[in-house]
Amino acid sequence: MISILIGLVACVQAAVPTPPAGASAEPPFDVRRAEHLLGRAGFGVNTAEVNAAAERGLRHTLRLLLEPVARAVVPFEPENFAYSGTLGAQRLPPAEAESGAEPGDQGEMGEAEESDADAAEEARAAERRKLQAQLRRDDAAQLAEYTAEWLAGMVRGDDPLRDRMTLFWHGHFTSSMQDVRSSHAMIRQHQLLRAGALGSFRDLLTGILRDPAMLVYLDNHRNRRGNPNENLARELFELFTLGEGHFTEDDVKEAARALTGRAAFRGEYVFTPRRHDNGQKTILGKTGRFDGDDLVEILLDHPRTALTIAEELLTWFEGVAPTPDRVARYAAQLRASDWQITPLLATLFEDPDFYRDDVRGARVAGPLDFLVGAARRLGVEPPDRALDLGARNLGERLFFPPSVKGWDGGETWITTSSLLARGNLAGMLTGSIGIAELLGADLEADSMEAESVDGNEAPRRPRARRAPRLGNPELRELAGRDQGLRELGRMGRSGWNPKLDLAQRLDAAKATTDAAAIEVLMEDLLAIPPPAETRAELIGFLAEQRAEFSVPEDRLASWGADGEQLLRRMAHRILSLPEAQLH
Amino acid sequence: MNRRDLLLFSSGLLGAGLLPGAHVRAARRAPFGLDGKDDASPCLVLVQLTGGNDGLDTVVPYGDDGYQRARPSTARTAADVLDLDGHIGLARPLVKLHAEWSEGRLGVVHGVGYPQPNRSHFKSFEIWHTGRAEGRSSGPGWVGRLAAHVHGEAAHPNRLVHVGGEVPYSLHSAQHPPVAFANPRGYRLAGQKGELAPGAMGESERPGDEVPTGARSRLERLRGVMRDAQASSAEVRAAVANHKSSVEYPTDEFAGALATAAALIDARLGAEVISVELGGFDTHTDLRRRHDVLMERLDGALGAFLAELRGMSAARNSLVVVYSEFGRRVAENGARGTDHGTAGPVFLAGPRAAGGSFGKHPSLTELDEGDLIHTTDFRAVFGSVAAGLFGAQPEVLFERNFGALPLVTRV
Repeated sequence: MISILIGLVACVQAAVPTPPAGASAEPPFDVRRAEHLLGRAGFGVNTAEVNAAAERGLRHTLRLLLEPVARAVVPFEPENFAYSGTLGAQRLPPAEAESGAEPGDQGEMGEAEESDADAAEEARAAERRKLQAQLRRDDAAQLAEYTAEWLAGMVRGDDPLRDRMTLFWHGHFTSSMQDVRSSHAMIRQHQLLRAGALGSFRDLLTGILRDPAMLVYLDNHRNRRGNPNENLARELFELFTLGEGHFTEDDVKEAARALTGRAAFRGEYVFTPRRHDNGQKTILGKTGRFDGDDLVEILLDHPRTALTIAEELLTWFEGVAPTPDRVARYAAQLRASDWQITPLLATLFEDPDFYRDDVRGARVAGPLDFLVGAARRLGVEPPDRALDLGARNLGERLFFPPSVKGWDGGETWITTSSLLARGNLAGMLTGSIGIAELLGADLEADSMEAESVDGNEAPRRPRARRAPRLGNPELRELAGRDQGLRELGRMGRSGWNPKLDLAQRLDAAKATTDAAAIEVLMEDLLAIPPPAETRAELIGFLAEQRAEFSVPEDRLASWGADGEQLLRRMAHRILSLPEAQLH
Repeated sequence: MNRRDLLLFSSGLLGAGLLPGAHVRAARRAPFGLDGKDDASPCLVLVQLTGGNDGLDTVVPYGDDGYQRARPSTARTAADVLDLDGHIGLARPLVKLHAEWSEGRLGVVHGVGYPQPNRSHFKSFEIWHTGRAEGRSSGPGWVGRLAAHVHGEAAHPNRLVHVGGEVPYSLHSAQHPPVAFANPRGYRLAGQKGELAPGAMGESERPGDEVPTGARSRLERLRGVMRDAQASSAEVRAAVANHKSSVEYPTDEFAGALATAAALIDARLGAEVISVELGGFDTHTDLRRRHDVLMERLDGALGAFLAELRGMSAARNSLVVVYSEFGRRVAENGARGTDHGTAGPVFLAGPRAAGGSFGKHPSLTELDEGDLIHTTDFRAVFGSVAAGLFGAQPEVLFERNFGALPLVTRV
């Protein structure tokens, strides 16, 4: 422990990459450990990055991870398109109820007048519907654009730990576009979480209770003096801080009163004193005229809050449940450091327990871990919306968490269908299969009736695929109005050709046998080495494919387009393995 | 279930301590019955209403002053309900379910809940999904326990199926892992060659290999999922491709999931529990408008599904159960919505459902801090369904028997 603390000081304050004497009992920071650290703190690494990190050593690598990164990217300033209640509403002609006309008025009109009025009203309503639809499209497009930008950052990997922590907070302090219905508010929330991702939990908690998206998502705009709405208070206790079973129903009711008056108006936070209940409340054993900020302090004083956050963070990075005593230790550090996240992560990444055999390779990669990781290991930049739509297909749709609890994660990511879909998406990244196909669209060329029960299709030669049709009605509808998806559909037809040169990797490694070729690809693409049976299966598959293409074993790296296509299929298959789902 | 199964279950074999295992399954699979139709295997279709369905706005005590007083801006009047007994009625949009009721095919269990109700969506679902107060920490889900109870270790990939995204914890089972898919057409391994599911046959337990210990058990499970996926996806796609639906379903996702469930039952894949979900029930605001939309969606899809099952011989042993994690508070809140509450109604429908009213509607005056006090334990419902449909012993699933209700017709 002492050596860890020394190490922490050394890593945060000094830039000296020499290990303290006490750490000599620890195994060296070799490539396996470097792979583990970079894979968990970021989104997957290729062999060159792992080697470089191992060369650099733990201290230096950590410093690079934890130091703030100045991004040369202009921050996204979301335009306020929201069609429900905020600025967008001003662009709409007034609805009947807002125009001042009472329904009863119509009774006084003659029949002709009435039908004229009806027609005018009908026209206004139609115009309004049209505008509303346009606003909804603009809104969705803006969020899609922002999401693509976030994902591109993950693939670039210029600030990996911040992106990973932002994803963590997105699943912790959840809000969903489904209910918030404003890309502006969702983006602003994301920027709050991203800016504070490695800062102080106190700031995040304070900020999220003033966050327009959160206040809308958990109905706090309806939480008023005399008419409390408990939604925010309950989830604040249960999910954001204390955890279930550590508060009473009365605590929820009283905390809801403390939060009255906080709401969002036109995309901005507003506090309305006359809607705030200024009376005395008793919350978690404390009594006073509490408001929302007092509530934050009460929660930070409660021992459960630090335990909840420490446990979630350890689970997030380690992928297995931490022991209670480690949770207690990290909770204590969090409180002692005034809720700073960065020092906690520094401690974690030097903790021998983080590198233990039960933890390495035991984390089930989430959809984005898998997709971004595969893209980074392959070294490809996927088309704009491919990762967003792909992750959605696998159950992780950014800005649309399934519930206020966020994503369950872990083994729940893996179902029979998601496992197959992961393999299919890997095939998209390697350019082996069409995009429309894997997004779940059925293919005319490949209709269900014509399909054999074993479902295997094996084109004998690389060829232009027959044009897939976006047959799924939902997809067709989406594609009709969604630029990104139209692009994907087009790519699906022509086949996306990633900038990828796998032959060159074989060449560099002087791999001239099937076995050596498989080794090179597995080393690059997997965090866990597969067992002998699987290697044999892959080697057999490669030999079979070579025979079909008439490629000699020792010429694999220099057989042009056919050789490359074949290697991409191998990469696709390796990324479909059970081993590829862990990191 | 066929007659031979019934004989097995009733002839004291279970009482003698013989757990139903592969031999029972073999018996069930054997063709039996002169008309050749007796091989419709039992199928329980679980419809989960996620978010806390407002039970009082579903099965409405419209004749009760207490109800009208508690919900001044959201209560349904007599004109807003489809009457059941002169005092209670179904929400107006539940037209098709009301028709089922009139034909004696809809079962309504009133006031279903459990002691010390938990108002967290997640904890309350854990309790419903496991049948135990402690939730997930108690082990597998109740459906997983049911599969182990009926089939022992004889696993079969398409036995427990979830059509949709997140799999409810009720289907969680290490021995009988569920298969799950949202879109049957996309449920496939595309562009891959070879009969073997990639990497499914590996063994990581060899001494001296490089696989870290923590990864080994995960890999074991992943390889099992890969094998199940390969087997199940081909069967499911064929089932959906070959199925000709006799009814028109609405176009929403929930209806699509039920249409898929019908295809699976029709194909006799051996799916014994099929789970689907309809979300959006967390109506803290604007109950009147939002709940009507939800009820309409439920009714449209479920009505079509029930009509289709009625004409399908493979569905003769099917039963639908509709439940939610909790009802909502009796009094409306300041936003014309309702907050998290306790007990709510459960619907039973489909070929094996005994129609009628079960249990007692909870009192609207004797409340526990503003919430309904449950009158029927949900484990009595699930236990009776498991016993009636699968010959299971409720006390094995839920530690004790919470009471038997005549919810399931005899074959």
